[in-house]
Amino acid sequence: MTALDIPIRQTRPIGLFVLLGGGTVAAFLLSLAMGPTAIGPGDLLRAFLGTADGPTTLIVWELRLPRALLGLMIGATLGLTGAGLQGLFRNPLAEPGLIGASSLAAFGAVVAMYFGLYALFAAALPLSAMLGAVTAVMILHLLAGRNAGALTIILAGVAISSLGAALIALAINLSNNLFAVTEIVFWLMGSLADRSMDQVWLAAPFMVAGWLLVGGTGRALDALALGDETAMSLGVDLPRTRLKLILGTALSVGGAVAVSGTIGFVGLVVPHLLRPFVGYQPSTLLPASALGGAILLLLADVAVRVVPTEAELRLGVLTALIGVPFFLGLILKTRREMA
Amino acid sequence: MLTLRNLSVSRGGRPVLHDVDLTIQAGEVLGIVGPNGAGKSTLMRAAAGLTPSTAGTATLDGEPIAAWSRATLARRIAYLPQNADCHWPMTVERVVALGRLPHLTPWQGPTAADAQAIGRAMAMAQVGDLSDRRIDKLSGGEKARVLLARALAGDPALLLADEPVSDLDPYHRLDVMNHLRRLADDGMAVAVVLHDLSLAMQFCDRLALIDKGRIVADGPPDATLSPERLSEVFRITALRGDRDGHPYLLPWTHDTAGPGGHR
Repeated sequence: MTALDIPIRQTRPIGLFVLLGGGTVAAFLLSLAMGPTAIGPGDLLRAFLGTADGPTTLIVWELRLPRALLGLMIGATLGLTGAGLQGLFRNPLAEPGLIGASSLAAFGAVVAMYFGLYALFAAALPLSAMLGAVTAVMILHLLAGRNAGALTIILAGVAISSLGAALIALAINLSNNLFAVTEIVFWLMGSLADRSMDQVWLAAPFMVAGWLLVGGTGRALDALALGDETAMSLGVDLPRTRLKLILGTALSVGGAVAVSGTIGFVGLVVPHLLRPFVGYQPSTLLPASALGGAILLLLADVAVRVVPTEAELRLGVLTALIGVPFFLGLILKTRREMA
Repeated sequence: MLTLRNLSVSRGGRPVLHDVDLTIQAGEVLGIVGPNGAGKSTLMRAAAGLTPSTAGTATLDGEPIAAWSRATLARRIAYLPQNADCHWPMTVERVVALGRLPHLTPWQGPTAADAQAIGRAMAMAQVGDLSDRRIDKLSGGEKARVLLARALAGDPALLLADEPVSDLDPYHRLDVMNHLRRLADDGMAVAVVLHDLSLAMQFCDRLALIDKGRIVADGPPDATLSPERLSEVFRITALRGDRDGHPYLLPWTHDTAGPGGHR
């Protein structure tokens, strides 16, 4: 066989991206339409053209649109950063919560609530959450050092997550204000209900900056499939790649947690489900997981509105209920493969 | 091509290479031989610029390796580590294509030249018929050849291969060594770590013998693997002979309580 006989196809799964793109648009429109007041496609179109009646326009623009946009952006953030971290650590069990960013971001938000800072100015909540996420990254760097292996980073992440949980528990423990405690507990459950465009604009710059950092690591992640040293021999600047991924995750997840509370497991489930459809290629998995994460979170957020419960089901509760059995199954599978 | 001068390397505070002098020329197959733990893999890593040296210099085409950017270095040197593997179960073709990463323009797909290089590398390592198979479903020997193809896909000027044939059956050992020989004949510089002294004798232009982090001999295979050195360094004796004017060697007995004693 000569070299020319071998057909070379650099397959891009175009069909998959058409499907995911279409699915994202559909899930977004569904999120606009579904709720206590169902809004048909015609009314939806008229609301955007500005020819609908007052209440419909108000519901679509003021209530549904911010919620759908946040679902889209936060879902994409969780999917993208999950795929990025899994590529970096070469571990399908990695996810944004892993490096402790979600946990300390939540603590940051809790501090803002605890001291009532957010009553003084609205931006205190997101800024405090992002400060938490950045602190997590800085502690990670101190604990894990510059040239740490994946296992060290994972263990450091476990320690940081535990720290976040302990500090939140401390805040609840010391609080004598039942109202504040209730607010903190509900915050931790994660939700997209009753958000406004102000929160969208507040979180968007951080999320977009994080997406750019993580999105630029695709080829380095491909090379990392062959191991750290081979990746370096292929021209990958390893410390820089790690920094981009960790900082990108902190920025985008910090922004997300600030406006939604903690929503877990999307970053774990989505990359794992999509990986076979992109030929296990880490670079292609990044955009696919961003779209997949957006679809999953938008649909989950529609589900919590539709499921008839007395109080609205919290989004973070639903994703955890779906995610934890999935997580356990994944551990069993990983164990079987390693045995 | 590549020159190491008085190179010393420590790993975890422990010195692994002392004062190594070695050159690798275009067009030759240099074999690196030595007992387990002698420092062969560290030598390969140092030559690839992957591990910092504590003393001495490594230069590529007269320029210190540290002065080359990692991207430029990646287009010149291919490094194939010992027990190489691909973590995700990608198809063979995708794995081989990873070898083209140093040549890709950011945000642009692979070109026709990339596709040709991938095809050439796959043909060279005889993995063309595996192209759509998943790498985790291959035998150890098939996987080793795929990862060799990955290293060749970058069209390197220097190939550093750390035990590329240890997982292969005799047919594919001879086959891969023949290919390395032909790559060198076409102008590539090839440095290969070998445990199989028979193959080292048969296919290498030159052998560097390394023991306890020092180069103890560097020269033609026959002279490097003299009976005295086999006894001192490897603690073995070998059968030797000559076939059509080409010397061969076959490890035969090991020294159970020789003068070297236990290590």
